Amino acid sequence: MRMAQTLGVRFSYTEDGAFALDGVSISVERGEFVAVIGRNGSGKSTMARHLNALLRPTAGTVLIEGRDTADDAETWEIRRAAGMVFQNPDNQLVATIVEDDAAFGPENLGVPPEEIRARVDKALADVGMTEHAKSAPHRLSGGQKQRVAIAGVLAMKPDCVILDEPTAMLDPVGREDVMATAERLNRDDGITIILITHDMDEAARAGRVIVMDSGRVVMDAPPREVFSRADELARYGLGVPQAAECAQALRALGFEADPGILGGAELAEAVSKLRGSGSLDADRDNQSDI
Amino acid sequence: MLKDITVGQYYPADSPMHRLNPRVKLLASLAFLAAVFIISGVWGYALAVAMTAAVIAASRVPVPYLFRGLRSILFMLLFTVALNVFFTPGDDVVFSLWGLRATASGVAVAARTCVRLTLIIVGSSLLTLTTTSIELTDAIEFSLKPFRPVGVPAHEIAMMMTIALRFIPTLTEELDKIMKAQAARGADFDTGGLIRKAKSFVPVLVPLFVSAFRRADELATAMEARCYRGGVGRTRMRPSRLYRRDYIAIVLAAFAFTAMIAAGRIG
Ligand SMILES: Nc1ncnc2c1ncn2[C@@H]1O[C@H](COP(=O)(O)OP(=O)(O)O)[C@@H](O)[C@H]1O
Ligand SMILES: [Mg+2]
Repeated sequence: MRMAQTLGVRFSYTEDGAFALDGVSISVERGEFVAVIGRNGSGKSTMARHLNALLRPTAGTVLIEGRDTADDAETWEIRRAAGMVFQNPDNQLVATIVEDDAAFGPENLGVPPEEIRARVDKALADVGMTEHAKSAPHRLSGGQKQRVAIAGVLAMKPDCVILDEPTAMLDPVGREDVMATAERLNRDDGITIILITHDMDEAARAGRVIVMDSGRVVMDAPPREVFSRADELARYGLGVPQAAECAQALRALGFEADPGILGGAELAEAVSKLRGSGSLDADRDNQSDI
Repeated sequence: MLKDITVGQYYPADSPMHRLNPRVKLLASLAFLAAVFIISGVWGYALAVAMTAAVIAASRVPVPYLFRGLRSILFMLLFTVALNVFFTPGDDVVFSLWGLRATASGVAVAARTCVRLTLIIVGSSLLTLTTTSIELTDAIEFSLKPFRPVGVPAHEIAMMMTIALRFIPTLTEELDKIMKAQAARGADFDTGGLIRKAKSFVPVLVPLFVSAFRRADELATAMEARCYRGGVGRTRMRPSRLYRRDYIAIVLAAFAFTAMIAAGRIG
């Protein structure tokens, strides 16, 4: 069964206002790692909230593991199955110590005490926060707080974790922490990840990238394909990963560089080939421009 | 300045008092406070002081640390003592100062008040020093449960306290930041009369409130996303359990309170 599916979802925050979602149909399979990108106000958060039954569609249907979010009886099971991590690490932790916060979800679900204990210990270990189990949240760094938030979701034994710009307020170390944690959960535990991000380098690490604009899905393809269409992305107010940008600049100067280049390693390889080809020596002036 | 605000200060240690069930501790503390108001006579007070000393010893909280909390109320204590010494009517004048006459009964009342206040402060500090805020919140929820039929929202009050305790450091930090930013723009929080001072705080409090509301909104959404739906059907990771030591403590406390009150009768 599909992890998540939306069928022609439209949604408006106001009675007569514009549609924040204007006919969104996507489908996410179990175990996928999907990135969602799009400029501010394109409807990413609104869509994420639909997948967690925090919002319900004005028109259309949202199914999480086949359960309809419009059905009140399914709300809790949907929220358990599709956990959500928000942007601001400070405003989603409830308890005064880390392990109590991780216990909040399973406590709400009525899980027996011994099992909550076991789940909390495992969840904190999974995000590498075991040694901070007794710390107060406000003593942690931003990246650590986000990992605690992820642990709080993991303790509910979700099948899918939706992260709404979890790295936006973090420093580079915190960002990498959160990204590595999400990737590990996806790879080792088969948890479906839906990552909303404004960082193209993060999006490039996903298995599939969904691009949103004005409440619609405008692209939905593997990162290599999405980021090779730089002109189209620019129309949606989006850039490409740094390495892809570099490769593009190289191509503009007449060098040979694959349009599929996404990561630093691929770029380095392409550049080292250039050196061997000798074309670099012939065009020394241009090289310094790069 | 803001760093001095300490709410529900906890002294981490592993002592018999720390291990006691928080519900037992909370109820015993309340009973103790009530007893302090009822006691009379030298023996009653002596017992209450002795009992407090025993609890301090069992709590392993260093005495200087404990009494540091008293410094903040020293002024109030002295004021009360002076008031009692000089303004208790009576003919048994002990000495007079600037035309104010101190009476023997005044001195006695002052001494009693002083001991009472100290016992109350020390007694309640002992509770917060040996009980984490989470334990305390749980104990309060438990103590309020009997009043649920008359409309006291026990779970909601406890949840509110937890969230307040969680956000005090966050908002304190934020307030500090806003004040520094305003000070950098030339705001002056330290001089001028009361009204001037109050006015200088408006540009600080407005952004603080705006941010607090935004945080509250986001937190509520996050709690909902984590399946929060009030206290019904909720379980706890650390259910409160009564052990042998808790029963012993209950019996000991009951005896001690009875003795305190009885001693007052004979003394
Ligand atoms: N609570 C709200 N009330 C009214 N309009 C909103 C609300 N939240 C978002 N919107 C509007 O919905 C649109 C999509 O917003 P959002 O989903 O937050 O976009 P994104 O997360 O991609 O930045 C925007 O035009 C935004 O102004
Ligand atoms: Mg958003």
